[in-house]
Amino acid sequence: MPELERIEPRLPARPPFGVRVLGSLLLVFSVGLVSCQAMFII
Amino acid sequence: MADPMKTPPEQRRTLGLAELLLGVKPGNTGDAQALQRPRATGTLLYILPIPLLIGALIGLGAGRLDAVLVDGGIFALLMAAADLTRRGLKAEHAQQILRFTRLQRIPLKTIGGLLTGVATGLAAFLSLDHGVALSVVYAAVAMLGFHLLYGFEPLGQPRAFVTRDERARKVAAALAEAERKLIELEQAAKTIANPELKVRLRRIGVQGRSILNQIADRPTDLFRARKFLSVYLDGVKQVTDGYARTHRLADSRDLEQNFRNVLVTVEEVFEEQHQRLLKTDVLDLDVQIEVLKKQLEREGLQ
Repeated sequence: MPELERIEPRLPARPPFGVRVLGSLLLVFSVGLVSCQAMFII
Repeated sequence: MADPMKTPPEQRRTLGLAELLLGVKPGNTGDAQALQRPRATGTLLYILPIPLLIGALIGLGAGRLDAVLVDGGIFALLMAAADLTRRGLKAEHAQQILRFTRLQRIPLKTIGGLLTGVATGLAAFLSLDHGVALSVVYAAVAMLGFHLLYGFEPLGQPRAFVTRDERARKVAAALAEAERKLIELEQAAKTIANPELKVRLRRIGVQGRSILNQIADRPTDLFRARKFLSVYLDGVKQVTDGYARTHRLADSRDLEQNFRNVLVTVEEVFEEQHQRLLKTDVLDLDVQIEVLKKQLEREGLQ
C-alpha cells in the first residue's frame, strides 16, 4: 500500500519586525526618494 | 449565529471603537481573520510612486512632454509592479486552502519586485540623469528593500506530498487532478445566480473534498473511488459548465429543474461514496480485531 506523507502548505516565515522596518526604509530611500526628486526636478 | 438578545447581559461583549467604526463583526477578529487576509498587502508600493504622478502632472502644466512621458511611464511601471505584488501576496495566501494540488503559479511577487527595481533604476537614469552605476545601485536597493519586506517566491514547483514510489506518485497525481476539478467546479458555481443551486454545488464541493481527504488518509481507497474520480467529478463539472454558459442566454425553468435533479443525484452519489469508504474502514478494522483475537486465542492468552 503506498504511503502518502502530506506536505502542508505553509506561508513563508514572516521576517522579523526589524527586517521589515529595514525593508520599508530601503524602499522609501530608493523608490520614494527617486520619485520625490523627479517631482522637484521639473 | 446566536441571537444577541437571548445572550444574558453579563455574557455580552462590548464592541471596541475599531469594530464600531470599521463595522467588524464580533467574533470575527483574531486568528480566524488573520487566516482569511494576507499579512502584507503591498500598500507602500502604491504610495511611494505618487510624487511621480504629481511630477508628470506638473510637467504637463509646464508643457514638458518629456517629463510627462518619463514620469508618467515610470509611475505606470511602478503601479503595475505594486499590482503584481498584491496579486502575488493574495495568491500565496489562497494556496493555503489547497490540500492536494499546488497550482503552477506565475511568480507574480518576484516579477513585481524585479519591475520595482527596474522602474526605480530607470527613474534615476532618465528622470534624474544619474549615471548608469548610480541607477543600478538605486535599483538594487529597491529590490533589496522589496525582498526584506515582501520576499521573492521560492524557485521550483511546490509539492503536496512526499512521494517515494511510483504508486504513491499516481495517487498524489489523481488527488491533485480531482482537487483541480473541484476548484473549477467551485469557480463555475460562482457564476451561477440561483442561490439554491449555488449552495448545492458548494455542498458537492465539500463532499468531494472529504472523499479526497479519506483517499489521502488511506490511498488504497483510490481504487474503490475510481468511478467517483473519473466519472462523477468530470460529469458534474461538464454539466455545471454547460449550465453556467447556457442559463445566461436562456432562462429556462426546465433547464434549471434538470440541473437541480442532476445535482441532487450527484449529492446522493457522493454521500453514498463517502459512506462506502467509511464502511470499508469499519470492515477492515473488524477484520483486524478478529485476526488479533484469533492470534491471542492461539497463543493461549485468552
